[in-house]
Amino acid sequence: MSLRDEIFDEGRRFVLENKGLKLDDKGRQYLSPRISSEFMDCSMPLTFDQYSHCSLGCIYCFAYFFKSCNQTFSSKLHTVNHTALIDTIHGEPNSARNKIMYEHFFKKKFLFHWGGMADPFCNFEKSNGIGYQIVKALAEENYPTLFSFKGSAIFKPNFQNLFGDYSKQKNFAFQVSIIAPTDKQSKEVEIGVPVTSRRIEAIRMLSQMGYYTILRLRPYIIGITNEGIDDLLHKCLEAGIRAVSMEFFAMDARSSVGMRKRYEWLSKLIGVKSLQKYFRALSPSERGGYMRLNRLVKEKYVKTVYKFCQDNNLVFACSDPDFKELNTSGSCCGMPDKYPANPLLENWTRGQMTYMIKEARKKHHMHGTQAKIKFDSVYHPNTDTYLNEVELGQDHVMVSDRTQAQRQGITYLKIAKEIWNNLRSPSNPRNYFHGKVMPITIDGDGNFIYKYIEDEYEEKWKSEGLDLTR
Amino acid sequence: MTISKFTKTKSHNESIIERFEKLIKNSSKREIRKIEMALLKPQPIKRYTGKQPGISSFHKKTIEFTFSSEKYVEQIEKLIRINKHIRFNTHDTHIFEEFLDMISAEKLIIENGKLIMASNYILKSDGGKQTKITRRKK
Repeated sequence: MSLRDEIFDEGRRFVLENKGLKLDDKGRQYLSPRISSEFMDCSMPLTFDQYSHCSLGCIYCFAYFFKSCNQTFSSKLHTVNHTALIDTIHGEPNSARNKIMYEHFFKKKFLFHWGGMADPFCNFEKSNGIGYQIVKALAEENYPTLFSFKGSAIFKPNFQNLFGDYSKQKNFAFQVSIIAPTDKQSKEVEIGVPVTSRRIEAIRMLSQMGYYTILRLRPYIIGITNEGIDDLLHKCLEAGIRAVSMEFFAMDARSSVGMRKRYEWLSKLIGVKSLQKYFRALSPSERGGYMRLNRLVKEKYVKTVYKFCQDNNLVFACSDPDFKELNTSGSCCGMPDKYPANPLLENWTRGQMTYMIKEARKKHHMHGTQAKIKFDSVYHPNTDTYLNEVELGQDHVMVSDRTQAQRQGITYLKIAKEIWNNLRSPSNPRNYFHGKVMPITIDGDGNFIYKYIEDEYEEKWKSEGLDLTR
Repeated sequence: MTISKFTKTKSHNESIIERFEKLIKNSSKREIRKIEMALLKPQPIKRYTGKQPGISSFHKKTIEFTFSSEKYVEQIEKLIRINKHIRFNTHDTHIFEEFLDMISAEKLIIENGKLIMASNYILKSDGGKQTKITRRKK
C-alpha cells in the first residue's frame, strides 16, 4: 500500500470505525460544553462540540492528535446529552454540572464557541441531527454563538432555512476554516472534507444572509498555505469575510502510529525530509514539547495577512502566541470589539492575555509607553466567575497529574496564578509569547509583573507604512 | 553556492529577515526549508534575575478549613457572612480573631484538647447589651 493510500485510510479512521452506527441514549456520554485549557489567552473559554469526534480527516488535526494519544479514548462515537443542554439554554438546568454552567455562562449569555475539538457540521451531524436541535434552541433564545467549521451539513435545507429564518437577529457568527488555497491542495491534506471552493461558498451563503463571517486560516502550514495565499484572501474577501484569524501549525513531540504516518505525509508536502527535525531546529525550547516555529520563520507570512486586513479594513486576529500582539480586537478568533447589529456577540471576556498584549502593543505605538501587565489586571474572578469554581477546575488538563486532595481545591484562577509565576512552565507568558512580554519585578501579592518588549519587526513594518496602532 | 556559504555572507545593517528574503528568491520549496533551518533558528530568551514570586502577603493571611461535618459550616454561617458564590469565602473573620486573641490572653484555655474558660475569668453582663469575659476579682 502506498503512503497516499495509507493516509487516506488513516484520515477516514473515525468514519470507518463508526460505519452504520446509529446513536442511541447510551451514546449520550460526551461531556461538553467544557472550559478550554487555553483559557489564559482565550476570549471564549466556553467551548462545545456535540460529538466526541468528527468525520473529517484533516491530516494536521490537533484534536485527532490529542484524542489518539489519550489511552482512555474510544473511537466509538458519543454525543452530548442534548436535551439537558437545550433545557439549560432555555434557563432550566437540571443537573449539577448544567446548573454550574448556567450560573457562570448561560445566564449571562456568554458567547458560546461551537467547534473546538470537532466539526459542528460534519457528516456525523448529517446522519444524527443532534446539532440541529441545539442550534434551534440557541436561535430561539437569541443566544450569541460562534461556529468553527468546514463540514457541509450547513448546506442541508434544514440548516439553511433555520439560519435564514433567524438571520435578522444576527446572534450567530461563523468561522470557516480554510488552509489550502486550492481545491487540489485541500484534497491532499483534508480527507473527506469539502474542498476549498465549497467552503468559500459557505462563507458567501452566510455573509449574504447578513452574518458575521471569519476566514479561519488555522493551522497555517508553511509550505502549503502560503502557496496561493493572496488569491485565497481575495476570494474570501469577495465572499464577504469581515475578519481573518490565523495560527501556525504546531507539532507535538509525542506521537502515535497514526500521527507518524500523518507527519510523514506532511513532510513530503511542505518539502522537508523529517518534519520532526524541522520543528526541533526551529522551535524555541522554552515552549516545551508542543513545538511551534519561532517568530523569524513566521514573520513574512504574518505580514502578508496583516497588510491585507489593514488594506481591506478587516479585523486581523492571530491566535498564535507569536504576533498575538497584532490582534486588532481582543479576541484572537476574530470576533469584533463592537458589533452594534447584535451587541451580544461582543459578550466574550476581555480578562485574558490576548486582550492585554494587544492593548500593550497599542499603548506602546500610540503613546510610546511600555505597558506593564499585572495578574490582577488580566484575570477578574468577580466578572469571570468560572475562575473560582472548583467543579470547573477539573476540566483543565493540568489536573491530570494531581492527587484527589489537590484537585479538591483547584480552580482556573489558581492554575492561572501558578503558570503566571512559574518561569519553567511552557505556558508562562514569558515562554509562551517567547520574550514578547518579560517579567520585571513582583507586585504586592507576590505575582510577576510583565512588560511589553518591542521587537525588531515593529519599527521596520512602521517604516513600510503598516499601522501598528489599530 | 551552498546554503552554508550563503549564511556566512552578510552585508552591514541587514536584518536576518532581509537576508532570508534575498536568499529564497527563485529557490525551490525544499531549498527554502533548508535556508529556514540554517538561518532562522530561535533566539534564546534573556534570563530573569530579579525578585522571585513567593507567598503573597494576601496568601500569608489566608487559611482554608475543611470541617468534619457540614453542621459546623451551617453553624458558622449563622455567625459570620459567607459568600457561597465563591466557594464559601469570607473576609468576615472578626469572631475568629477575637477568639484567637482570647486564647493568646489566656482568657480561654485549651486543656487536653478541650476548650475551657480560665478560672481567673468570669462572664459579666454590662446591663443586658453585651456579655464580656472579665478578670475575676481577687
